[in-house]
Amino acid sequence: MSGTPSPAGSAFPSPTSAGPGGPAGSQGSAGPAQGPGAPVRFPEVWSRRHDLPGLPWNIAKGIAKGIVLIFFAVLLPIEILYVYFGASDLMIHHGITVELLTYGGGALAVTSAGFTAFQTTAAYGFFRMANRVAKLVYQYILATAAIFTFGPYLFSYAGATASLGIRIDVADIFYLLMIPTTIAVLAAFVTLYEDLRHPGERLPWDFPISRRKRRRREQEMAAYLGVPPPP
Amino acid sequence: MIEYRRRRPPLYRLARYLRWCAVLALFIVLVFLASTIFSAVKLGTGLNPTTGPNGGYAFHYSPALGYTVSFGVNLTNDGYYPLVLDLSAVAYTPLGTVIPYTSTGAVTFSPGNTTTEFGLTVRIPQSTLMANAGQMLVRNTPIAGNVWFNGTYAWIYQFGFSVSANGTWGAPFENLTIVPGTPTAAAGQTTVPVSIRFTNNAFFADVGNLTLQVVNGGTDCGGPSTLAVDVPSQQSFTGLLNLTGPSTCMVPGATVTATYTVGPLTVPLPSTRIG
Repeated sequence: MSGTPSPAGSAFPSPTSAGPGGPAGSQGSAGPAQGPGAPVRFPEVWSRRHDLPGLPWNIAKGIAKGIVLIFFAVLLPIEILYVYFGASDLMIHHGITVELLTYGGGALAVTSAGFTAFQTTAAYGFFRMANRVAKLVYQYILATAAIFTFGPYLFSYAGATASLGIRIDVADIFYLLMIPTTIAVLAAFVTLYEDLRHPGERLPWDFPISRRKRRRREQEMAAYLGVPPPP
Repeated sequence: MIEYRRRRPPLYRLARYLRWCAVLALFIVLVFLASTIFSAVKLGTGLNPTTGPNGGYAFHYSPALGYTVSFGVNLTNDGYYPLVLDLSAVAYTPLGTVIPYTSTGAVTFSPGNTTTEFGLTVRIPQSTLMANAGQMLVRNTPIAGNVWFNGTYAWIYQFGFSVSANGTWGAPFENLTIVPGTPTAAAGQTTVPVSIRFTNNAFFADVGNLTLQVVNGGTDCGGPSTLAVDVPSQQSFTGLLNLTGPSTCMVPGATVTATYTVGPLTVPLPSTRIG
């Protein structure tokens, strides 16, 4: 008997199962043993240790996450820095360009949407790694650009003219935020390595079967075997 | 029975631990940033600058150091993080630098409700006074100055203010004119009436002594004559002073020198020739 199709939305190879038929509505093919002395084969779905959400659902979640991130990482900063403050008389100058916000925030949104959409596939590690590295680079570029200058404001007093300039440097905030991001890059690298070295290894723990589904499965197994269900 | 609980794979555990470390580090950073903001608000409302002795400023003169102006305030840091401030200034005119670059250096205000004095002493060297101040007393002079105020709070927030000012120094004896009149001789003594005119364009009143002296060939012709002046700002002054000395000394070609004395400071003014 050949193996069953991969779980929905998974690019990892699924565990091979055997046995014809199975409970109605269950995935895989299994059924009562054929003939005397044949080994008892359970439905393949009973042997799984994970409960993967469907790929369309994951993609929908990824798109929704991407849209939210585009709003918060791209549109909102541009609105604040270039529309709100740009239209005011504060005369704020800084090195954070629209291109930086667009490409940097866009890269974060796309990669973050990617690892959410493909979290059940082998592409998860790549997207996760790309997202963390993009975040690290983005924070570093923001740190080099996060010097805000206000003015010069011109005023006169007692016949003299004067100009006032104010400078606020918040680069160290981004340098501080790079510490957890660097650790997250290491974590993403380990996940990427795990996905490449042991495909599907993380799925039972990333997507564990819920207690309710586990209980139902035990009841199905008991009915299949003709034994009382566990208490 | 299916075994649902297994020990997690090593790589999975490692990635999980690292993710937890990243979350913990992010949490610590965010708590730190939030505490700095809270502390900054607390500091802003409780800074309470109080002036030190002499109302916060003091003047001092010594021939060796020149003229010094000191001012300062006491600041109390009741936040949780140190505050470092640095104030510096410079001023110059077309005649030269009036106030050389002067800085307080980095003054640290430690947290814990401690009070530290923050002040700057601006020194005008004696040489500067002698070279330029005489001109600045009698000619309105363009003057430019820069003041920089830099600070660091909680090690990570750096801020700075810079003020550049351009103005005209209003001379306290603008267009000082000393005109010797016709000398009159009697009993070996010669008296020269000298008329004095100027306008006080300074922002302060001229309150001091104007001293005139006739000098001939490097020799003083008798004692100096002093005129006390008290001219409010933007007011003109016209006065007359009689200088008396030996007839052999007070001859055409002699020079009438003028000096202005205010407090401990004596500054030479432009001289005028008799005849």
